[in-house]
Amino acid sequence: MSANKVKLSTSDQEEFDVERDVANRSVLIKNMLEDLGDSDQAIPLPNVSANVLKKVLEWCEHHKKDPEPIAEDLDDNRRKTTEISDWDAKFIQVDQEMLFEIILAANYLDIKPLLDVGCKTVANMIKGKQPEEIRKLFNIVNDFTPEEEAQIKKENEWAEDRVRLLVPPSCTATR
Amino acid sequence: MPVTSPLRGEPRSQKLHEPPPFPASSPLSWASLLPLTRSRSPRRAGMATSTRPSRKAAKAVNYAYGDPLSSDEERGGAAPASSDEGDDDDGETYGSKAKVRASMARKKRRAAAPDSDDDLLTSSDDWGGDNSTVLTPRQYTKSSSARDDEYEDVDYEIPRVDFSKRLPVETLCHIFSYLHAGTLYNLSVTSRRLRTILKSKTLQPVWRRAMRPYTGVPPSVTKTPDEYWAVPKVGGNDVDLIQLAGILFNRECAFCGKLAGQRADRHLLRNL
Repeated sequence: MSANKVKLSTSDQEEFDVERDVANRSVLIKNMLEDLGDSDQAIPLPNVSANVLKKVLEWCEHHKKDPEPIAEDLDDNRRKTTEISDWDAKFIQVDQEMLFEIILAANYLDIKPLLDVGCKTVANMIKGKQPEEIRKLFNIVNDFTPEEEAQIKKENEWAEDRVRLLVPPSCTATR
Repeated sequence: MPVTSPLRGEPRSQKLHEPPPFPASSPLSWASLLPLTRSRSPRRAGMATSTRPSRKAAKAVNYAYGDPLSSDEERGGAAPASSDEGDDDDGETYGSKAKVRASMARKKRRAAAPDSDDDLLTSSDDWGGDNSTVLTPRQYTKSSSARDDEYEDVDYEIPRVDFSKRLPVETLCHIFSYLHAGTLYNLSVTSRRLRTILKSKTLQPVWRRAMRPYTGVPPSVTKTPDEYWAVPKVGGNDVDLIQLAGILFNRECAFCGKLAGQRADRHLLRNL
């Protein structure tokens, strides 16, 4: 086996031969390769199935020349943008099942940029929606008991009474 | 996309044999334009009735991911059905895809410039032609909204997965960090599980960041990051940010439970 190829084996026992550059997009695989050195053995990925890995590798292939992601800088005060590049947006146009599988795989394989793309996509789906719309979109069951719903309402009422106390006048909103 | 003529916005490709459209600034009177209008109006009506099959094709094209067979079937069914569209239909040579695009463009144009329909209507009254072939603007809007409903229905056929059950909390945290405080609040009242997650300590930084524009002191006043991220206190206790979000972003009326038209004043805090 040549040095610049890596063998990956999925949860359903399928094997993938991928370029080292591509595989290195995954920090998990990269670290494993460094630990293993050169070896013919396939790297087992028990948490990823073949069809998901295929999709993930497609992303890695396209992004193999990307620069290493810069360490998260301290601009937390600025709202993070949910913009996704055109290619990524097209890539992530899959059904919800696949989308979440990709997110899970990116999480497991430690591919930060892909995880970002997935999370942004989900965030964009939720953005600006009312509770009922969110439930419909993701088939979430409203399992609040009537008492709990009353409790939520009451919390708001309680807060309405005390809104004057809650916020000291010195605190002004920035926008 | 078919090229649209400057006069009517009608796709040019569909009336190749007709005289080229008059420029908008042409000194010609309306009377000379009328025959043109008349010749098109029956076809327009024909287009309107034949939108159904092409919509079907649109569905197939847009929603049948990874199932090319079914979309082919749909397309095959759509083509013969649209052959009754009329004599002057060059659109026939196009695939149904192009037709769908054309009809979508027409729909958009209708929404953008409803007055052109009015022109059509009044001109038909002028020459006393049969009104039956001309759709009134109201009919247009009705049919287009009906089609929107169809889209909705199709949309709901996509398999849905409750992401709160599928993804680990760190990932949810990551997703929520992109969201506005109002959306976070809406999420917190969707289900018990999401509420528990959103109220947990892990999510506190997410809330703090999201609520920062509503609670914080301007950056110019704060000196340390701790000060910057500080949560306002009442009687020595931190304010519950989720409750605060509830007041600011809950759109449900506390008395009747109906969805209110607008949110609380975003400058409420400043005004108090």
